[in-house]
Amino acid sequence: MSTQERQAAESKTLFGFWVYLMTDCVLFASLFATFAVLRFNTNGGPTGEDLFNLSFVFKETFILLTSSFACGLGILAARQGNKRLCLSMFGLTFALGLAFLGLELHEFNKLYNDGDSWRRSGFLSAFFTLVGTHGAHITAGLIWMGTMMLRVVQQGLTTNNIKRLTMLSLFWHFLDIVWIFIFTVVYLMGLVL
Amino acid sequence: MSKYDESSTGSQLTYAAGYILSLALTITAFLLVRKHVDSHHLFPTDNFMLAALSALAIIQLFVQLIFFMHLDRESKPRWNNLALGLAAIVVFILVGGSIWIMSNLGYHHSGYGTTHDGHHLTSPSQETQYIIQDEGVHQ
Repeated sequence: MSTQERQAAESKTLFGFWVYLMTDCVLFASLFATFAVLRFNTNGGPTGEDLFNLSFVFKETFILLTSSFACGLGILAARQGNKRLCLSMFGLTFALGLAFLGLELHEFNKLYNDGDSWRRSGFLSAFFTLVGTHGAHITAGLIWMGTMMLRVVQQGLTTNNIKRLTMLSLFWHFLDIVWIFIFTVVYLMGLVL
Repeated sequence: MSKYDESSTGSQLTYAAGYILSLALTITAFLLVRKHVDSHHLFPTDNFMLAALSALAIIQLFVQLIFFMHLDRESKPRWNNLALGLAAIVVFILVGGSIWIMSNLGYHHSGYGTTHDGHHLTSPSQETQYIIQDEGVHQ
């Protein structure tokens, strides 16, 4: 294959991945719509204002945003052929993603143990579904990232690996954007109204 | 040395700019909410908060699309932007439409519901009657 053909094939793959991200966007939109409709249906249970802690959410947001930034620097290093920098940046992204997931699971666990699980009210069902789906995506992203780092260690920064890292970084930035809307709509607006 | 087109990935500078801008927008949103909660929901007002938080989130969406995902650098034809536009329309109809329809049906909620001028309905038949009138349903 000539360079031109390879680049054309690669841009097709990236476009295909982009279309997947857009359908994922529609999935999240339907969960956001559900949440928006059910958010006042607390059935006498706790509201967002009773449950959410502003500084805790800020911590989560800060960690995820920083991991998105590290991921960007990682893909930049990959394209410059700097394997060590690439691995350390994706390592940082992975660690921050893991920390984020830990905080989210900690919050879920606390809610569940306090009796505020998804069974408590429509509001909490919608909350757990929306935030949990985001958490499941983060988990999938972490598994993917771990696999990719292993491949880069073994095979180096091959054209194929760089292509996959590019898709991974798009996925990770996408999850950060979804989180912007989760913290705004679920947590911040939950504390306002 | 890179086999890739530099122009489609940006530089450390664009990522750093995107990071700092996102952080500033996030901190602004959190400070606003803190002020709002500390003032017992009096200042800034609820409506102002909803508008401000939505605006900050949408600005941050564009900051990340441009600085992190480099959507502005796509070469023609702009298929990615086209797919994004289509998704945006679907999201808008899905979320906006759901909220619109469900809040319109709001008088089903809380007991037998309330009329537009604030009277509480006291029985299922009264509620049915009210909805028939209000929606202009002919039997």
